[in-house]
Amino acid sequence: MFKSDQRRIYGFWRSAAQFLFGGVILTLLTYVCFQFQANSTTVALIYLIVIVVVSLTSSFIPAAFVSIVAYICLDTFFTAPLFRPAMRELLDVVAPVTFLTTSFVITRLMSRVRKSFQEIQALKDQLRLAIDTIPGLVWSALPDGSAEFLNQRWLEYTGLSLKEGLDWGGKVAVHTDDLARFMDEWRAALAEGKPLETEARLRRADGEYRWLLVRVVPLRDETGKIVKWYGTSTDVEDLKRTEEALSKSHAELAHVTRVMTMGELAASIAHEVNQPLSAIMNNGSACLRWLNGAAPDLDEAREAARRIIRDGNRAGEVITRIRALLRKTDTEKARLDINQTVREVVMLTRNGAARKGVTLRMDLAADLPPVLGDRVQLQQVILNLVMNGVEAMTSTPGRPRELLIRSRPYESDKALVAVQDSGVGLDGQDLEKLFDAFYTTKPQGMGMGLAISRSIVEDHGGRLWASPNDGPGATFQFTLLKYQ
Amino acid sequence: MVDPEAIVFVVDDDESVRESLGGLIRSAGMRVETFASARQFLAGPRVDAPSCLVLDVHLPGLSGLDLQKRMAEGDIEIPIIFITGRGDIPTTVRAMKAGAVEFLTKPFHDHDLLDSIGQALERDRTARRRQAEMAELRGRYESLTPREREVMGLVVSGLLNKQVAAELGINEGTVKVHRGQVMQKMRAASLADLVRMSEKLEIPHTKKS
Repeated sequence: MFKSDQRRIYGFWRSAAQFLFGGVILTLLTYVCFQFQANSTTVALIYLIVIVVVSLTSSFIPAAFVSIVAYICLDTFFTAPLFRPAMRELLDVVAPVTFLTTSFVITRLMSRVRKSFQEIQALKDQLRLAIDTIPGLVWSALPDGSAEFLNQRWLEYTGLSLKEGLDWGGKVAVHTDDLARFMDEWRAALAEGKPLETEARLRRADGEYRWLLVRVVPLRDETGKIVKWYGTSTDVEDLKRTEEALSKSHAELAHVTRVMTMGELAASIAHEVNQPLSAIMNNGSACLRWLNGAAPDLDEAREAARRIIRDGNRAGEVITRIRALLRKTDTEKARLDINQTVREVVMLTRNGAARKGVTLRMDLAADLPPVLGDRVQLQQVILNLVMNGVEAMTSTPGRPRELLIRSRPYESDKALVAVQDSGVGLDGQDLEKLFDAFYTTKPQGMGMGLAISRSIVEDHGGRLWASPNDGPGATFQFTLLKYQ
Repeated sequence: MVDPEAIVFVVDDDESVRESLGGLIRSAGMRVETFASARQFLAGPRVDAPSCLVLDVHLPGLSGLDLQKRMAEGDIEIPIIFITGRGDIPTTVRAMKAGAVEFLTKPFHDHDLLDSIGQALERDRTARRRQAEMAELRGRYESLTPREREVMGLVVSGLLNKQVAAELGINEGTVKVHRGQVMQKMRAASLADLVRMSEKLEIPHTKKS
């Protein structure tokens, strides 16, 4: 209320000032022209210029007022007979009407133009306000890649002045570790004219380097030539931190399930070691008996001793396999023969599976490319899929229980490992739900196995999915990126 | 102690274990036959000698406990010693209830196994002896005439000759003759001996009361 009153008062004084300004200018010009005995056409032109100026700077009414006063002055001081109006000829009517019409048209046009300018200005202000207000760092660059515009948020975020920002294109604020890579990517995008999406650390005004997600798209004219580049940068530091925390807890959970799976394996391993151990004890006892008899049978004793050595070796092999499985390797991904990993897991699980009446069969492609992967983690994935497959089949009587583990080159740059069972299958189950954490169909299951397997595979840039077989059972398969 | 006639059967799917058991038992001076599966064992010939079976619980296919059940159903009365890699209590209880001699957890000491085998063979010998005795008794009983069997039934239920005669409606002298035949054919030294035999044979007491 108060504000609009103020505006009205301001408008009134503004108009008044414009009236006054128009009047003073007219009076001055009239006086000067009269002194110089200027002819009426010249004066009319001068008046028109005044009217244009007045209508450029003010609204319609003052301009119209000036027009009328100008005409009266023209008629009074510069048209014969002087100092009185006369309507003797047609010209006396046409001239004032022409003058007034012209001046009105000019006034009108001018005020329109002025209004348009004001509107454009308002629009510009609004746009600018929007760009400066939206919660994002917005900028634009010229086709050569040099910075052209930086929004207020950008300047506030980096604490740089507009001049600094434009001069250096913000390069100074990019983390030195990221700068070379970022500039390479930016130059490549400029050269190819392709949108860019990348991440880089940027120094915030408080000196902290934070990760930003940078997206840039080119604007093209109708001929397809790039006119400008528009970019936004979004602070993803917090998101990244959350992601890291999540991945860390994932890794911890992976460890937990790994330990649990190892627990299951331990029973099988204990058995594996126990068998040769038991044989060694029997053979040892037999050997002593052959030697201690009234007539020692050296051939039999020798045979028993030979068996002791053989079974000792067998126990040793089991230990070597367990060592290989448990070997602590750092979690770095490296060149890996996934077929070998499959073999390691199969060797360890074969016996346990056989005790549940399941045969493990391998069909591994000889031309499989090496993959980039973490050996221990991928062992866990395969182990998990194999154990699931075996479990799925133990409750299905009457069918051949065979678990088939295949490997194949996949697409041009991947390797595929598939574990196919002929068990209970996946009828009526939501295939994606299988991979949810804590989803389980097993009485002792924790429901973490598949969820973790999937996160491991995805962490390797691959994909893990399940599909029902044409016949009984299901197939779980995953892809891994080829080692380059 | 060592009976060269006796034979020990071993069923274990693990080759090393199977071989070592065979060797150990042979070193103790016994005959041994090994099988890789329960089916193989069932398919093999039966022998007429004291024997016992050393059986792994966790066999692929037909398990040890399954085999024990099959044998009971098929009247194959060979004492069983179970061996296992992981002895869990429920399995042990089931096996022992079903008549197993011993339940050993691998690895075991040789004398534990050999002692168990000795016990099992002894049990089988006793059983075989009892069976032979029964067969003999049954043969003797079957050699009696119907009338002699009637007389025997009444005599062992404690009736005097006179009472038997009355019961059967025959002469007391005839009863005496029948009774003498019974004692002779059954090779009974005394009335008490005859009563014991009738109990073993589970002859129904034919006294009408």
